[in-house]
Amino acid sequence: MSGTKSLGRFLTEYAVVIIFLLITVAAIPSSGLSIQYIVQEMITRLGRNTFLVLALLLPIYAGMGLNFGMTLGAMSGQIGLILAINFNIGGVEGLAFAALLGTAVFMGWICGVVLNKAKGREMVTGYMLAFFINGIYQLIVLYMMGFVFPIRSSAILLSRGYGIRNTLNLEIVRQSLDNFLMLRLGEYTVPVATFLVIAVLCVFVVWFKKTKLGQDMRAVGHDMSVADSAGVPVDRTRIIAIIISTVLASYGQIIFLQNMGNMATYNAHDQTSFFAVAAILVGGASVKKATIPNVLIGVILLHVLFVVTPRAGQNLFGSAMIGEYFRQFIGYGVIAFSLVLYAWRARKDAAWSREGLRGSSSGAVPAAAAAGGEGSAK
Amino acid sequence: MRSAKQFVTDFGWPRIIIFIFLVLLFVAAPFFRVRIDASISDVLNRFGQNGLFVLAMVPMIQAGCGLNFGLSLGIIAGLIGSTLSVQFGLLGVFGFFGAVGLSVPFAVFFGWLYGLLLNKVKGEEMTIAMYVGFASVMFMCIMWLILPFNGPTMIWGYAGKGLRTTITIEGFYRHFLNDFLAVRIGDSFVFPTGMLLFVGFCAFLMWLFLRTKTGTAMTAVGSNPDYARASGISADKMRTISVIISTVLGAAGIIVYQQSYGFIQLYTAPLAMPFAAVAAILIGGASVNKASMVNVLVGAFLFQGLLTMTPSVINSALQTDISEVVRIIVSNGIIIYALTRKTKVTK
Amino acid sequence: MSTEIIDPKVATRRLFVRSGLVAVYFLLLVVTFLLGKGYTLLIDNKDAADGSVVAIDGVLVSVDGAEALELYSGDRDATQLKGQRHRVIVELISDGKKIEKSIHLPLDTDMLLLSVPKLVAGIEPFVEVFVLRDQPRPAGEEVGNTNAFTSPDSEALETVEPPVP
Repeated sequence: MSGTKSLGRFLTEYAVVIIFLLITVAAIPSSGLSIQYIVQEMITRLGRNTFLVLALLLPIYAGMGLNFGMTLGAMSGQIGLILAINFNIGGVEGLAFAALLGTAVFMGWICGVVLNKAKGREMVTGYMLAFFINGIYQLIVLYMMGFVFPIRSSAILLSRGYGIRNTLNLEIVRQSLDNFLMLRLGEYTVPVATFLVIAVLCVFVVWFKKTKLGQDMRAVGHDMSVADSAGVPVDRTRIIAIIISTVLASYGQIIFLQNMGNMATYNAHDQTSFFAVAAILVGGASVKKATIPNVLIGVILLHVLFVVTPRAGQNLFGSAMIGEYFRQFIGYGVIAFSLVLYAWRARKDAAWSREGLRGSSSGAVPAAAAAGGEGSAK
Repeated sequence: MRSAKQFVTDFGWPRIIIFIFLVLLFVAAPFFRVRIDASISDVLNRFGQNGLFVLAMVPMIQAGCGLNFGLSLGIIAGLIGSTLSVQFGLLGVFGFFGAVGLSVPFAVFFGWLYGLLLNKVKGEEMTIAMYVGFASVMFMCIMWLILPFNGPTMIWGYAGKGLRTTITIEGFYRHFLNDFLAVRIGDSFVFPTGMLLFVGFCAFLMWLFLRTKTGTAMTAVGSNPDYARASGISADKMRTISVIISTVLGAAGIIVYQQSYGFIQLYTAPLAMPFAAVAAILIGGASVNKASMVNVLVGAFLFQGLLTMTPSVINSALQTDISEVVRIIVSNGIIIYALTRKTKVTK
Repeated sequence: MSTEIIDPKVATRRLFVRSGLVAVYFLLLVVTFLLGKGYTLLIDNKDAADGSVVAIDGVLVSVDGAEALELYSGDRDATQLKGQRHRVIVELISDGKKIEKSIHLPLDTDMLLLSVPKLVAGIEPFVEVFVLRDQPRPAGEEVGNTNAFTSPDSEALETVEPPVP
């Protein structure tokens, strides 16, 4: 009996991954793309996207759900890049300059303060906050840069004399991190430096979880009131989690954009949180539990599908638009499905522990519910 | 003095600022050669177009399901109804009510499924609603491409299949409500009597419904779940009913919108519509778990007033196109404000 | 955190460490700025407008040990540089004479012109700020975020083109 139960557990735990794997495997042959092409695309896209997705980890540990407010970090990264281009700072130094500029710290602090006022609905609030800050970002970049804030390079300004142009050419920093250490492995090229940066971040995350602050974060994530009575400064810890996430997201966006080589000044951050959240969920993470392997698996699975669907749509239905809509549908659908699955399971676990069916632990009900999703993975 | 203070805290500073801002816009309008009568006519028209969407927020807020970010489901039902109506060639009164009639079964069905889903995920409704809405819109994008519609005005001419992004309803039911008893004063002021009557009638029905036995039970589920449980009300049933009503209103809302706008907008058009409705009812003074008819009417008027007046006045005053940014900041700011407000009734 | 009683010694040390970190942070910012500052250096081998020097027929110019540019009378070439300090080596093809100069570029500009004849003749300054005449810009570019997705309700009546009946 426990065997079937654990199988059921396994299936619900990894339902998203399994379904996704099936769709992807089914779509690859009909796309007609060669395996070599897909592998090379995956290497490029892992380098481009992984950092952004890793930025989601800490708020999940702190029990704040998926940080849709990471878009704030993306916008900060873009402001950094605009200024790097403005001062004509090229190469890896330009990227470092953009990253160090640190608008993200302030943005993260705003996000943390706002989310602390919306405990229990962080995700939807973060999502709306991203929209709101998008308005502020446009106000600054489109109307105040070159008008209130001096911009020395007229090449990046709109012809009307203020506001940054719609597309920014990142020529001077283009792929400078990727090309810093490019390795040729047979027919594949691997941007080693980018992967090293990602590896350093992974090590940081692993190390951070073991620090006092990291432990506090987990405690807050399990149960805020218990953490509070244990002397953990709950609000402060949550704000720090969001600040770190936002700063990492700004680095992630800088890495993403240096790989792309062009920046749509007013649209580049639109889909950032959508792709990152979809990726981490596809990798088998939930609102309460996420690991580094989840991130890597998720990025690969999601992007294989993204690469093959337009072609598959073209070949199967004679319309590339169908593939395009399909991949958007899959992205949104995966997010909705994982959120539903998680919320549904958390409620069921809570109901179980209320009825005393699960164990004899005398722990608080919400703590058990929160730990439900947590413990089952181990 | 105290009551004024109380009023301010209840209503909230952001709303008062928005209200004053709107009044200032109207005062300033003549100085920038913006015609007041045309503006008011425009505001009334947009009020009517969007009124039902805002109204659709009420039942779910009252039943404790939060803001309906998944209104797109209702809009999709309405789009199915209206495309079917055009496909069958229904004209005028038949066209309009045909579209509504055809969309209601879909809306009830979608709403029922959606309600069942939301009952499974209490506490996370809003985020999930948002993504369920997005996913359904994307799913329907595929459907619009492959469903076998064949009205010549509806499909892409060169491909011979797949619905157009915008379908004209000229000659079907365009301005059916707008022109009903419409009062025209001068050349730029039109009072869309029929549409406003229809919206008012729906709001009145909602007002009545909230006072029936089912309506009060629904409110009880949202505002006082313990009491509701004690008196034997099935929370899940009430919530499902509220979601169905909301979805049906969304469906009717998009058809009212279309008859005034003149086109059926398909594909990704419904993606952003729920946000405007959410912002409107919040500007009207509703909170995440309490909304009234006054909130609907005031909210729809203030929000649409803002949408109409900022482009015309600000743009001619500052000679820039900054109004779009003002709109983004105001409408999303008010949603943030409502979401971060300490709610008195906690579930 | 606030309720914790902190030993004043620890507090002072903490303050020092933190302000040190902030200083290091800003130092890094400045270092990346200085190291990454990009320039376009035009290497010019033409007669000076005032006739003080004349172009040299056939020189090899190498900046920071990069592959040498071969310039004849009236030639002009450009090279991309990063950072303020650079070493220029000019070699005359005629007699193989080598001149080595170190240049320091100002921060407030992006494009400079190095006059090879002046450098060879030893006239300072041989590097001047070069001002580009107005470049043509692409006309009719769109302004702002036109994505309806981040802009709820941007159905803007006037921007939707009426479909063909």
